[in-house]
Amino acid sequence: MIIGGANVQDGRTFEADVCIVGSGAAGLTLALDLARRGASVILVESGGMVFQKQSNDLLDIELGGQSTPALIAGTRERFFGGTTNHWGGVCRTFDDFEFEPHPWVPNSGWPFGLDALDPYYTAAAALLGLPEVRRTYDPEALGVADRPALVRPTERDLQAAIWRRVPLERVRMGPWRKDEVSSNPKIQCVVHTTIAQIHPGPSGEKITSMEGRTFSGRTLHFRARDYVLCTGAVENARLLLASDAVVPHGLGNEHDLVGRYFMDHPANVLGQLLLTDPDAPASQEEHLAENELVGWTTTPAARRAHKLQGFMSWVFPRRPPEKLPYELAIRELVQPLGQRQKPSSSRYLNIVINWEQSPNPLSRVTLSPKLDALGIRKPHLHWAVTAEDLASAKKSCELFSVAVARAGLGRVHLEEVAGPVITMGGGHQMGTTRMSIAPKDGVTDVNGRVHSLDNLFVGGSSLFPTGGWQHPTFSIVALALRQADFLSSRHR
Amino acid sequence: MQMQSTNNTSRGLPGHAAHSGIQGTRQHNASMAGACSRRRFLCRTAISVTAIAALGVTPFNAVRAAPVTAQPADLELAALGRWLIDNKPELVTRLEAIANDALPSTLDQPIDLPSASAAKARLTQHQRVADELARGDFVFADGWLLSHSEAAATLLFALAVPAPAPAAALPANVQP
Ligand SMILES: Cc1cc2nc3c(=O)[nH]c(=O)nc-3n(C[C@H](O)[C@H](O)[C@H](O)COP(=O)(O)OP(=O)(O)OC[C@H]3O[C@@H](n4cnc5c(N)ncnc54)[C@H](O)[C@@H]3O)c2cc1C
Repeated sequence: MIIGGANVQDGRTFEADVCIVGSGAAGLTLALDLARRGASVILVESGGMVFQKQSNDLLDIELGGQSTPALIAGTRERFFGGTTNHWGGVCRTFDDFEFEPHPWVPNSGWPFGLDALDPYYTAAAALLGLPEVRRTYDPEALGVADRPALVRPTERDLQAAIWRRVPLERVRMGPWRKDEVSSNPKIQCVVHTTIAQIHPGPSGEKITSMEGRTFSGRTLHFRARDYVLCTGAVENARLLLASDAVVPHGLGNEHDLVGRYFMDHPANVLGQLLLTDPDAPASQEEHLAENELVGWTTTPAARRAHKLQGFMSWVFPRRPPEKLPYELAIRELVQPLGQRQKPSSSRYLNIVINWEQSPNPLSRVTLSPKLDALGIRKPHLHWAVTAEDLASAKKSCELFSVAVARAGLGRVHLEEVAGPVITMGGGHQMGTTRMSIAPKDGVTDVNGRVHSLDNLFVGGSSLFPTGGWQHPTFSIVALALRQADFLSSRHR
Repeated sequence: MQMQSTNNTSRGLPGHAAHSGIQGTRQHNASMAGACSRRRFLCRTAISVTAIAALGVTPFNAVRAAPVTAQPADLELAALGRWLIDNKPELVTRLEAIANDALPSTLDQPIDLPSASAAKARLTQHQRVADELARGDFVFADGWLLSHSEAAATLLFALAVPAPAPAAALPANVQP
């Protein structure tokens, strides 16, 4: 059942086994899987079923550090389906290597390994309509070994990475799952209702209710045995920090960690790849199955050797095809491999990179004294990329340039020789309620439960203690399925 | 007299003026190999210039009078070489040594387009370039990744092709 909160009687209380806040990738997955397992669920969504400016304005954020409006604009959506209303649907698992702590990256590593998430990756693939989980790019297995490839499985320091795209009919999770939600007797989905406060009991150890507000001036109450925040990395931290009526400094914030370690995958156009291999197709997708993408990432060996964070790069046909400075000279210098003839005309591709930001306690979400239209304190984001992050990205760009040149594929023209300038946020906000074994190291435990509270959980990429280079949402969905498994066992 | 001629030549050769300036102002401890290569390099230039001077043409013309006309790609290679001379002065000695080794061994041959092209073919062999890239012997020249040998090849073109004449100074009363 989907209920418009604006028209519900003021002061009404909703009750269920589990109350989930936010209907994005995490919240929708969790709600439907819990209901499937027999739990009753309340799903509270701030926006309505379609985009409305009034609710989207609640996302307004104060910016500090390296954050600029351009980095944050359009990275979040406030209506049913959340940011999946405009995500790209590109999916990939984290690799073994991303779960491990890396001695050269302070605060890195997950409190569990890939094996803990693997069964849920398989379930997530089935749910999203992806035929299987694929980690390595194996042209033989893909049946494309006989076709010319832009990306080869391995080059020195680089390896090919494969991604899959969620099929069109499932990529917008709101429209895709709306009927399942509205027809499910176990689910009460209350839209147009923004959770403003989480109320712990007097002891501060257990949540007793949540308070929702509507633009029509109503206050609604939600009671459940367990509560899960799935509002995205900025808003999860904001809600915990703003709920400070009983516990000073906010819920779960005993160690001053809520909101810290904010990460994204900064993105740039690295430059251009002038294809000098006449046989190379001018598109990374040309020889792959529909909805499959291939790009490059640095190998674990290269990352260990050069003490690097993760990095991924993709190439896209360059438009409009302008001539690059000294292009003629470069084509004269670069000799094609073996007996191949030089290409007769220039073909070049734009190289786009995303890179991993290290978990940095100074990169953080706090609260501004300013209030939004519903009287909730606005978030303040101080996004801080470290000098090491920039140096790592620069070195990775160099390794990429060298590897493609050595492979005889093409020559890179860097736009920013001094190192990448952050021009885009990846829209992959992570890390503000990181998981940890010990409460002093993070906000939540391995199941996403806030360490200091018995029945308050967090879902989504704010749980990620390390961001990796992979797109986050496939892991968000896998974590939500894992959390559903755990929570349903508490309600049996 | 001959010494004088060499210096003039250095200044007269395209790209070389900047190069000589760099060498003149830079404090550097050239390795024996580097110093030797440089001497051979300059020696080669001196010989070609002296020979040409004996024929009564200026060194500048001598290079331009080379039997091969510069193609657009040659001009770009030369411009890239000049970019390196201007922007990566710390590399020039090393690149000269590499370029020197790739030139034909006959000392009386001028650095002209045919010899630069022949040296380029040797310097840009894929395996040689790949090995240099693997060793970290590369430079970004105005954004482009070049192995040191590739960069050295551009230096030869900078010596073989005259730099475009600087734009004539406008009279004070003329707005550009
Ligand atoms: C342009 C773009 C492209 C992207 N492409 C990809 C991609 O290709 N692959 C990939 O893996 N990821 C991609 N992402 C990231 C992806 O969209 C997010 O990782 C994902 O949507 C996060 O899911 P979530 O459920 O945690 O949060 P969201 O999807 O943001 O959902 C949060 C929900 O909570 C609601 N909410 C917030 N506050 C409250 C409150 N106080 N009360 C009630 N409800 C509230 C919001 O309205 C929203 O519906 C992209 C992002 C952007 C911006």
